[in-house]
Amino acid sequence: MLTLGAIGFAAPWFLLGLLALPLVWLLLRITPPQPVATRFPAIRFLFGLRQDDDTSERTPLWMLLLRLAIAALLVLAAARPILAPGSLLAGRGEVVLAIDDGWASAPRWPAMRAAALAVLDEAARRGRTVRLLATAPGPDDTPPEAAGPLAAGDAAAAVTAMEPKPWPADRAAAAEALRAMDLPGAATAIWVSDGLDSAGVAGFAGALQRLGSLDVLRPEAEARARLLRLPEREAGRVTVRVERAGGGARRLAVEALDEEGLRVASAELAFDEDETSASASIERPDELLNRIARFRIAGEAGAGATALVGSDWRRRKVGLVAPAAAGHPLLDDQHYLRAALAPVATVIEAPVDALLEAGVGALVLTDAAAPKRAERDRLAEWVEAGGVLLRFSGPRLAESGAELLPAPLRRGRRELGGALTWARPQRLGAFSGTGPFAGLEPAADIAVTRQVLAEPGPELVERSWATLADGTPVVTGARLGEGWTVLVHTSANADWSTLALSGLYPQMLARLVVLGRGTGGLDGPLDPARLLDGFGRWAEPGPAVLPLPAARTGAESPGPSMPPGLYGRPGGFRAINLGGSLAAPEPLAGLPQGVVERALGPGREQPLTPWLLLACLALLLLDGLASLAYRGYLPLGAKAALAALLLAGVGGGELQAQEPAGKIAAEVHLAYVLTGDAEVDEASRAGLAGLIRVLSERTMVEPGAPQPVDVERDELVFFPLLFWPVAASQPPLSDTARARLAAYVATGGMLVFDTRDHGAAAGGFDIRGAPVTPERDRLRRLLAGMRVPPLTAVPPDHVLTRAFYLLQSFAGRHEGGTVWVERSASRRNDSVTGYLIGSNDWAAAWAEDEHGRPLFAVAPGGERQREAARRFGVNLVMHALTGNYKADQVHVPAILRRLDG
Amino acid sequence: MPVAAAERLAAGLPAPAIAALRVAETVSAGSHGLRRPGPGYDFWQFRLYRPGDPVRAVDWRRSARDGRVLVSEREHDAAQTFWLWEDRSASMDWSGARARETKAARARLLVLAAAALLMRAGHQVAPIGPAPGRYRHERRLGELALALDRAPPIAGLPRHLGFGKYAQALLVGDFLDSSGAVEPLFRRLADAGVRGHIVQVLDPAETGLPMRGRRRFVGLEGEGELLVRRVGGLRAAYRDRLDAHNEALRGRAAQLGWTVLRHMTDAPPVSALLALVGQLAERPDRLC
Repeated sequence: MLTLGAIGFAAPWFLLGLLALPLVWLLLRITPPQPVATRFPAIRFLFGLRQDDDTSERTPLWMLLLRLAIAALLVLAAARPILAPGSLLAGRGEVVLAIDDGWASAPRWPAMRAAALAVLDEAARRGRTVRLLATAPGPDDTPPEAAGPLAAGDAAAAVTAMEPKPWPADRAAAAEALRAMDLPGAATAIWVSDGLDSAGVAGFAGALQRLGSLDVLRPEAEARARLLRLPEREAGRVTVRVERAGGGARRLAVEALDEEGLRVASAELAFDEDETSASASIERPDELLNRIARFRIAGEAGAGATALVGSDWRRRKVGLVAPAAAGHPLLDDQHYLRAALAPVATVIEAPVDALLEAGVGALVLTDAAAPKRAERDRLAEWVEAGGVLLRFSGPRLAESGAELLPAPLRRGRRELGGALTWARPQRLGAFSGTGPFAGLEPAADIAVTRQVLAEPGPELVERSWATLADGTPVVTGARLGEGWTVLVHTSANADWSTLALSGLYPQMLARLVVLGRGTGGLDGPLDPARLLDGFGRWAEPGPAVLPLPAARTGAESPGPSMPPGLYGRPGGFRAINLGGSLAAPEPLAGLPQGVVERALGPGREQPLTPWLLLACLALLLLDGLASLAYRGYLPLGAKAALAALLLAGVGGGELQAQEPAGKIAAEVHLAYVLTGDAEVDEASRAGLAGLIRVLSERTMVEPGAPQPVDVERDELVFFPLLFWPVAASQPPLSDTARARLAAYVATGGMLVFDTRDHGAAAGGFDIRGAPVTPERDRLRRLLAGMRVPPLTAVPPDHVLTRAFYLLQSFAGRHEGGTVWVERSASRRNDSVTGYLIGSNDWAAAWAEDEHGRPLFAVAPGGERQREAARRFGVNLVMHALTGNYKADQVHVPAILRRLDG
Repeated sequence: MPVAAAERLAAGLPAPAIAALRVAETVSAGSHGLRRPGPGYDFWQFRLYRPGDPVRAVDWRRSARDGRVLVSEREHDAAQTFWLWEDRSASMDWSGARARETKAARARLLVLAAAALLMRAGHQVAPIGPAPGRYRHERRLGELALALDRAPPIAGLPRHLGFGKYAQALLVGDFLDSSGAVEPLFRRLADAGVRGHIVQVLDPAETGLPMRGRRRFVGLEGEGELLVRRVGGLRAAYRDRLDAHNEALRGRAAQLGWTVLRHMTDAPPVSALLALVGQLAERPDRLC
């Protein structure tokens, strides 16, 4: 190989062909292209005329140079030039190629593989044999082993078939494999590394270096693998953490996906310069978080960027011990518990034995269902293994003073405000700042008339999670083994207190049932169910995968016998994640002296032959055109067109987001207001697109594509309704925009606001009891300057409830948020409400991708709720388009009767 | 196709032109077919033999059938015959621009239109050639066109062509060949006392030489080819040569007492036809 600067020639002898160029010059010079033949009758008069210039006929210089360039390019291409030829294989002997194929290689695997293939390519050119060593253990749990000696081509085929493994590389074992290898002489070692440190790096690198020389190729700092830690869950919040081995400032998104791969939520993490760990939290209602099946770092491949959650994460199973006989629903303890627990957990009602069998995470015992003696031992055992036992008081508990209680009880009970007592009913006092209720606001209107009292003791204060105004505990809890016993000192129904009637009751229960681990049902060896491959995709279990032992400490690192994935049976899975046990990633360090470190560039060697041939072809085309022109075959117009073609850039006009007004006015269009938050805007667009499909399928309304609207700029008058998701980032309105919106509403338009925050953690309540969220605050400010007429919650006889479907709920992605409309006293605009305000995130429920698949998970009602949301959307559009038409229908019988009479 | 175009062209010509033609001919000797027996070419009638008739005039076949001796009489042919000649050499089949018709097409159009006019004025026309047919009626214009197609080149013409007295000839072509090519025809016509009318049909590209740059010129009649590096440099010299040639043609025509009309193919054909009619109607001084 001949090397000239950055370019090497694989077949330099062909360069001698350049010597022939002067000859080509001469030949070309004296054989100019023939001009076009012109038939001419009067040629007789041309013969013998003296021509002005009597220079002999020559090829013009520019054409000569063009053709020489073509010839030179051909010669150069034949010499097989290579840009930046690798100097990795400068030495002699065999080539030892070590490749990291652990989990950390996945994000940069294409580049690593390309680098390895480039080395092998060069080895092939130099005719050197190769030993190939992958540093991760194989899927059949064999330690790393060097393959070879191989021909470079065979090694390339092996590398092409290689894939990163979902477990870490074992460099110590790889070093052993190197020592076991017998090489005839000195060798050239190249290590394509993932750039992360691990045990045994120094030994491995040393062993490689001792073979001859060592070059280490590693990815740039930004491209090193990141590790997603198992997200931590609290009530209404998940904290995700990503660790990395240093690098520049960077933002990452972590997505939470549900079982079907739909996005439930996402969080953005920001790494500062050189920061190795970043976290962010996702705040969503518990019922949404329950649907999460996996987390992943958006846009990053690899098992380390994926965190699966097992069934202990998801929807809790809560057992409700069924008493022998049920009473009236409103007097029945079970009724209140069922209603309160349903949104946050799967409630199973059965006898104690059956519940423990079913593997519930929490178990609720009402007073009527006091455990029998035989059951108590099993219950205690279950609690110690991590269960949550929640008991409610009642006459029997007060009398028996049973075991399995967080604190010893006084016999008897305390009555307040009864006919025979002086004391008044006690109000709820405070929640303990350290207990599970920390952060909840005690409602002032809860009155407790009866309670059981705990024996005072030194631990009682610590165990009291909620107290009455006089300081006596109303909820106590204590650890028992891994689990908790919790006692509510009043009844589960409304007999003893109004707690069960308040909105606080389900919130408190939700926090209690997630305390436990939810262990039951996952005992014994768990068979692998769905496993991850190195890229974080689902894969079949390999040959060496063992069932997960019951006595798993949780500290073992995943390996070939225990790859990351889900283990268990349908209904009960345990998740094994790389992020659960691996140490924090560290940059590769501790390489011995004399090791050359190189960056993992994209394609180190670039063969230039194809490019030269391509240039040759282009020049030939140019030459053909030029000589056609020279010979007079191209008419002038064609020349101009050719030039225009060559000069013309691919100029596409800017795509207008909104269609021209005339087109919009020609058919019905639904519009959404741009909020400035790209994610919200996209959700609105997808939502309206989904609604439009539903409308077109089910009704005579066939709207055009959804139109984005900038209320500051665009004309509003074409749209029957404006869908306006309120984002906290929405810029405040200008006065002109307010005036335009007011005029829009006054002339029959309809503004549909959606704060999308129902059920979100509120930052307190305002004086009317409505929760305060950033979105509501923003909405209040948006509406501040507009004369909004008095609003009311949608009355049951509102035309919106029967504009197309008969509806009484207005579900969206959430359910239950109040929907406000204008008080329909005015008959203006056919009683179409000008303002409609809700918080159920309708657009997310309507949203579909281009294949008609829903984009967002809907909770708690699932697909049934999505259908309800679609029906609401249909009614909404019908109401906006037809006004009180359906309301008039109510009067049809009366009108008919009058006509008859 | 050329026939239809020629008819249209002739029909569009103003009546005064035809009238002028007719008047001119009545002045000259015997303008029409005289519709009586006499010396002529075309059969007129049979009549009984009268003593004194030449024996050669007896139509023996007819006499044998009838049992009487019958003599065939010919129509007295005093109508003037216009002889037509069209240059059908390869160089005529050329046009300098794609949109223009070829010189041959224009020449054919002019010949046929003129023939139509002449026939309408009562004359007979005949293509120059061996055993020429005579054409008197416009409906035979198609046959005339075919006969023109069959006409041999000048070198193939027979020695005696049978031109009548006071005949006229219409000669259409580009007349770009060296004078030697058409001179035999000229001489023979002149010897027979025929008055010729030359219409020189040229393409504008031939007179102007509008090409530019490098060109390889190829002749149409096997003259060979010529590479010209810059056509513009030759233009003036070429035009001079062409003008000299045309002047020579004009001089020869004047010498013979003939007329020359030059027609460019980018000009409307009717203009040439009108000028031609004017020249045909003109009383030749010689006959006064």
